[in-house]
Amino acid sequence: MATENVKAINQQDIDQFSKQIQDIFAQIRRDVIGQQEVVEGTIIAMIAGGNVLLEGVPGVGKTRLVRTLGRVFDLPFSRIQFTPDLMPADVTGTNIIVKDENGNSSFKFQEGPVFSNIILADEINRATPKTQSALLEAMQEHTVTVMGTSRKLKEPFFVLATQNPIEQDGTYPLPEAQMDRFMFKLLVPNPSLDELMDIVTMTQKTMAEVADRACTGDELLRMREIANQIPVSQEVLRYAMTLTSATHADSECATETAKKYVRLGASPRAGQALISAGKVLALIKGRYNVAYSDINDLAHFVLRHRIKLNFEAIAERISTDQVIDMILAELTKKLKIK
Amino acid sequence: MNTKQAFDKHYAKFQKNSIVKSILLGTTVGFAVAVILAAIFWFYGVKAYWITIPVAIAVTAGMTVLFNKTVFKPKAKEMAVKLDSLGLEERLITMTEYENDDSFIAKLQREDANKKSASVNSNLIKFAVSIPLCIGMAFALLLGSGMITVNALSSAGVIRSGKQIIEDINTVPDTYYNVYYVIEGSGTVFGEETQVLKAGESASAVMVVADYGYAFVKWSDGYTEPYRKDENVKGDMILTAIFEPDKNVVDSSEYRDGIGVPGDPEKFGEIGDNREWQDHWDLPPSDEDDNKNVPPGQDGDSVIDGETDYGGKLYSDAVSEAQTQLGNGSVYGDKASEIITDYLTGIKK
Repeated sequence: MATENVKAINQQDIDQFSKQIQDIFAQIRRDVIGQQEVVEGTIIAMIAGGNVLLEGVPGVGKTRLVRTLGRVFDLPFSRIQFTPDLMPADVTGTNIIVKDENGNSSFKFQEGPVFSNIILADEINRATPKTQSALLEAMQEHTVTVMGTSRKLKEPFFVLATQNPIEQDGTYPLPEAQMDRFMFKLLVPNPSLDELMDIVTMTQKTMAEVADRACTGDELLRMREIANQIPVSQEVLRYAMTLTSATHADSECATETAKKYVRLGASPRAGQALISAGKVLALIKGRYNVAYSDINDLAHFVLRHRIKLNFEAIAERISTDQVIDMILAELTKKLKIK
Repeated sequence: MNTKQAFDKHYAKFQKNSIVKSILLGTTVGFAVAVILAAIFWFYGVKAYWITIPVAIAVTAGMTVLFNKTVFKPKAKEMAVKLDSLGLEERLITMTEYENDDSFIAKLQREDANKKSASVNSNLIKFAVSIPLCIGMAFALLLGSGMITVNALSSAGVIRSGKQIIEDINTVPDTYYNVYYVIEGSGTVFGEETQVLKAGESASAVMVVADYGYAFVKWSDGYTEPYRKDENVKGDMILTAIFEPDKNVVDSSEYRDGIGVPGDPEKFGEIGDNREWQDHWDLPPSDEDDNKNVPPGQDGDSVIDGETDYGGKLYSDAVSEAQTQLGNGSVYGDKASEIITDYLTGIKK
């Protein structure tokens, strides 16, 4: 259904979307070798208005990807290196005393690095939960409240956090509330042999990033509006919600897998994310409706950080992705979805 | 561009499926009605089994048309789901749901869906016939045919109707009892000695008569009359008529003591032979009438040539008189009269 108070979409918008999405991928490929799934997921999340948690070992191109995104979207980019001694004010900013030309002192809000369009929260799990949670409001409401004053962040606002799956000593696992605010959790794998050769070959020439702007922030917001109007049938909507609900061991749609392996299922935000991102994915694929396949394709991105496994799953060394696969298989069979 | 266009190409295929399903369900309903009708006819013994056949056909035809127009009429959403499963990625179901949306993106979606729908080969659309529906139809057909056959057989009188069967089931079977009239001693039962009677029925009358030299004493149940007619029989009975030797009758052999040995016909002749009496008794019968052959100590009529004189009448005359009395307004019943007649005839013999 057409969203109210949104500029009407025309053919030119659709054509523009297609062209821009191709340009975005093309420009990112200039700087980021491989990582197709991560790049796609990140772009989908950006267009859908979500944040992304990237998990991967050091040196696989996480930071480079974020920098490239800043270039491609021509958006200000901030990097916050999360450390145990990082304070919330270091993220959000704080009031400082300044003196005017008359010598009068007054408080002035000094914006922190969060006041940017693209935020790279590097190694987010190394900061204390207090500092981690400083990002909660920014990620969800796109506002920052300091000393009782709320300040709106510039749009588009996008947080891309990274965390290292190893070296867990001295880290603070992200609280559930913050995890839930990431639309996607993307796993950044090590590059393949060919990709590795390309990376090394490229960086031997220059370390500089060469990607050009493919889209502005405003254009990105327009793309979000267009994608948001993609129709979703009740059948597909029900399937997405059933999938979300099926991750709960005690829900009416609970799958046998969830009953066996899941301690905590996905929140309603997962359902929202599946639909929002599904619309973008459908449009990227050149389709004007969301399909079951879109939901299935996004299920791992959306659900893997929202499902907490129980002891049985851990004891059997079953990963969250395997559980999601089992739930999907069970559900598609039950609902006879091809 | 509307949703109908997307389905036009494939509508015939869906319509065929609708007809098949309608026939299956229509036949099921038709024969179910036939089963009910035939069962009612059979139960009440209505000899109109032939009505059920045209009724079954009519209902089948009617319901098939009805189902085809209503229940199984191809619906846009069902067609959309079916066609989407052929790789259209929910385009048609979305189009169906957003058919009234005038937004640009919805129109674009409809165009896309129509274009994709046109590329689908109708031959790829497969329909599975519902197994429960097939089972239901087979069951209805079988039951319908069977019930009509039962009704026909019932009408022809080959088998009983349902009502008759129910009546048979509810009828308490009759209880039969055996009544035996037996003799202890020497005597004869006149009438039916063994009788099989329903509970509460009355036995036919019997009469016992002692043999010569014996006298009837009583029945085993204490009844003292030789004639009896037991009524309202409520159990098996063995009624024994008890006879004892009659002390008033003197065995002829007693009169021969010292003269001869009883049973020696050469010497004494047969019992009843006048010659014997005349030869060996010192005092031959002096009575001129019938008492001349009566042995000493015995009163009664004389026996002359095998016939007894009953008070001046010959036996045959007495019998005739008795029979006349029995026949004309006798106080005895027919059965009793018959028994008495038999008895009289027996005596005569």
